[in-house]
Amino acid sequence: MSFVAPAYVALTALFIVPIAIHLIGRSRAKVRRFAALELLLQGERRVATRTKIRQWLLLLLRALAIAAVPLILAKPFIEAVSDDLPATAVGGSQSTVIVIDDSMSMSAERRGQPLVEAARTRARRIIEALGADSDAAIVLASKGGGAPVPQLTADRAKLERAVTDVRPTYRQTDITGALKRAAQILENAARPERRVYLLSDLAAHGFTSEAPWAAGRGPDLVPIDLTDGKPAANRAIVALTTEPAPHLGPRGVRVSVEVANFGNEALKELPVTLRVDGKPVTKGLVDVPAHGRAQKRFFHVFQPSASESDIGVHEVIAELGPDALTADDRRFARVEVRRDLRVLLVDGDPRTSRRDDEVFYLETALRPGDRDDSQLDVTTVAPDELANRRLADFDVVFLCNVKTPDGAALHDYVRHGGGLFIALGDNVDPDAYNDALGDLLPQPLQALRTVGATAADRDDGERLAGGNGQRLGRVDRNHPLLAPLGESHAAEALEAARFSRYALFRPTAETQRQVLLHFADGAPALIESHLGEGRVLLWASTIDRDWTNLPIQPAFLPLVQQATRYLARAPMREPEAPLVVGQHHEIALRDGELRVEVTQPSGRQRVFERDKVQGRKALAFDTTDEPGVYRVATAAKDGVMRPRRDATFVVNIDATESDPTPIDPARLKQLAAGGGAKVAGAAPKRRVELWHSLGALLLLLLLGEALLLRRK
Amino acid sequence: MSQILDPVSLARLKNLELRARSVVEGALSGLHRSPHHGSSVEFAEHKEYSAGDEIKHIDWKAYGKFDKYYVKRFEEETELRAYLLIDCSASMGYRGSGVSKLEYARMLAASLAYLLLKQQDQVGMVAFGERLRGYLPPRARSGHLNDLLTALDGVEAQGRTDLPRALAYLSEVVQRRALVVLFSDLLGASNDVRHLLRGLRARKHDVVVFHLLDRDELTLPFEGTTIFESMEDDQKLIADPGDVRKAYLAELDRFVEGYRSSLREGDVEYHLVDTSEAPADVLVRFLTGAYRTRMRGGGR
Repeated sequence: MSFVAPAYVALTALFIVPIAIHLIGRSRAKVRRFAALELLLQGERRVATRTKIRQWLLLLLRALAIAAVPLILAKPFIEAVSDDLPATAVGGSQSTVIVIDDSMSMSAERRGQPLVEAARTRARRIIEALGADSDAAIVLASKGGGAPVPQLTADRAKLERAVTDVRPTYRQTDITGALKRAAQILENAARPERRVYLLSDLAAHGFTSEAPWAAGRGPDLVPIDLTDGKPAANRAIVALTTEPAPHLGPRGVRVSVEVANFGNEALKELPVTLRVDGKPVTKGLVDVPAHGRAQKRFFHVFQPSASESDIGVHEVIAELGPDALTADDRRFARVEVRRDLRVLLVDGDPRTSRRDDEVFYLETALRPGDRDDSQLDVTTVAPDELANRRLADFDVVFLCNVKTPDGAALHDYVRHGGGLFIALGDNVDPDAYNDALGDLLPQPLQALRTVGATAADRDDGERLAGGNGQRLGRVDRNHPLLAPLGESHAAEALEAARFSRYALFRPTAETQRQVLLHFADGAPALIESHLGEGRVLLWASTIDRDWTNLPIQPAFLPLVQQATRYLARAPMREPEAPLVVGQHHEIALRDGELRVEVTQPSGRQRVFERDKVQGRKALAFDTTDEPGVYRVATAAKDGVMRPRRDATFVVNIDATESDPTPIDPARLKQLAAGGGAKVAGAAPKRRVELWHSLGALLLLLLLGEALLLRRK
Repeated sequence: MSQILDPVSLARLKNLELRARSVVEGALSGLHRSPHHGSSVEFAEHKEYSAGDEIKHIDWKAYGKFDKYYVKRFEEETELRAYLLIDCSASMGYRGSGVSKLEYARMLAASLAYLLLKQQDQVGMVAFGERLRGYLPPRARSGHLNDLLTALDGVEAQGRTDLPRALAYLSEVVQRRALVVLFSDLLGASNDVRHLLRGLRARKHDVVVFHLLDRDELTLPFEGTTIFESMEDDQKLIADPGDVRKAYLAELDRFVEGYRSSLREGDVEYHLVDTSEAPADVLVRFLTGAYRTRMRGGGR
């Protein structure tokens, strides 16, 4: 037995105090003459033996109780043979890094407790067993987990606190990274013996092919397999994808669920449940072979809800019955079902020949091949029919070469959130337009510039050929309308467009406008402005082939599609691929948003405001530390928080974490031998603190003494 | 009454007669009735006629039966003879927080003597320890109280007890029926005492035992390791009273209960007296107890 504070041991000699008091007490006993001594003697004879035993027992208890107090203060301990620590657990002077795996796979339950709990217990024992002269640090083995105790310290309390604070996470395992960090910490260690204890399930997915340290130059690695080489037979949903199912209509979706079986036994008729917006909608059975995978497909038609104003964002969850590792029994997806955008085309130059019609190319581009899934509901009217239409029923209005538009009605429409696209043509008189539309025009028209033959000049119908006319110049690729074009060949196609005539604009002091496209001569080609809650795009040329050949260029379709969505405030691009835990996510911000609240699946809220939001196009969100659906709400100047369903995103766990296959022992051995140091051959031992037991014994002694005194 | 006449207060009165009077007056004021029942003439025994005897007392019926002259002898009820036996052994000298048992016995005996002499009864006294310490024959004359009180004042607690010897002596001395009152702690007394006391009663004497014990002896209230020494021999015991209290009290109970049941069986009146009690209360208990009942029942 050893002591943490051996100086106190000397005080155990105080056990003689009660014995001395007993002896002194006897010698100093009062003498009393007593008449009934005969009766007293008779009584005493009856209880003499019992009294003597009790007195000796009392004396013994008191002596032991007094001796126990300094013993407790001395903190005695023994080094017991351990069945759960490797042979190197107790050593002399050493510098140690304890690497604790806190990745998702460590939340698997074994013997009724998560593996990370077992890791904490073992870590505490290692700390207890370290020699008095040793120091230690603690590193976590999940990706981005960091190091709770990044510097070597001899402060046991600090180390134990850090161990207690370790919690299972949903992050991926990065044992190689953690070992590298451990090696860095040990580089400056003062003690010659350097050791890394790795507490993990030792699943192969946590190791990369890269060695954490050069052979023979690293510390000794002591891997401790918390599964005892018997990982639990896990099953998991490793993928969940959704894609449109056109045969079920625009709201039909096909959901594919991939189930993996990492166990040695095949799974028969494993139930898979599909939940939509929290409610179970269907259930299917799937057979998965041992160490194999299987797919289950579901079809679902989303119903529009009354609250859906522009788009419908739905949460889809596929789940299995729980097993030892429950975190991977669910997977999340976000499905965006859009309401069809309603577009009104005002045809300022209708023709009997469809190809010559002012809106032929535009209509074709908005509804390619008349497909039902274009999600655009296009209506074409002549200018004189416009008065009979309720503009508020449409998301976007295209004015295409209209002679005298109703400025007041359009003004009111845009102010209340409508989107207006103005395309020019031969019917447009600049002055009349300036008068009729006023501030609806992002920039007042001045004159028309003709740089080549227009359709009117070409009676034979010859179209503008490549090489003639003006071309487009600078393109603002940062604008959300044009950004998608930069990712495709459409951008190159824009350069191929030629213009024989286009409008020139008067200079203006208006700062709200923005020129999105320029002609090569610097004149604006596409100008955007905001009015009230609506947006206006002014196109300096025609939307048909009268002044330009753009409608027959590949860029035309995405340009008008994007312009329509932009004006209707519909999302510009397809939903992002699902994120995995720990990945960075960018939330697209709208103009004027001043505050953003992100609600995590657990209900925790994160608030962003001021310089993180104001004037930015996107918000960087890094706290994707749990799987599930993250909801976004924003507030503008009025301070009222409004949900942004379009910004909802889901985070899933990394499917590789589900695979419990352990690392090849030969490879582990190779890693462990990386240090080149000989592992001490001492018998496995751990420190067992005795003062708790002594404290309990002291209480028992005092209790026994009280009982004996009471029995007098 | 008992508060005024508690033993400690009485002990402060130097004059034993004064003390006795206080006790008796206290007792009588609580009793309201006198134990004096008036005089009558009662046949006592036959005696063979001898010269000088009154002829009128010859029992002619007896002459008819036995052909011999027998003379009837009578005694008056008012002429009660009482013997007060005072135990003067060393153990009677034990004093707890109040008066000693002997002091208490003196007060009680003096009170009783005062009461009886006031009723014209004859009162005698026997003081004993290991041997007879003093004897005063029963008298009823007016100056006898002083003799009795002087004798009581003169006794001291010392030596062992030999109660059987004292009782044997009394048996010889007492020829006629008498009231025998014993004041003793009965400690160190042998079992013969019970038989002797019952024997006295069998011989038609009225026997009353005042068993005097100190409050300390009744409760053993001491604390801490104590060396107990005997008051009558050289026995010792080192003990923690807390350890032996329960067993001692059980022994004491057995001891007291042994006397109580044995004496009551033998029609001997028994009073256990805690010497912290007021003597007047004890006297009242005695005067209203079995002895009085027997007196009223015409036992004499």
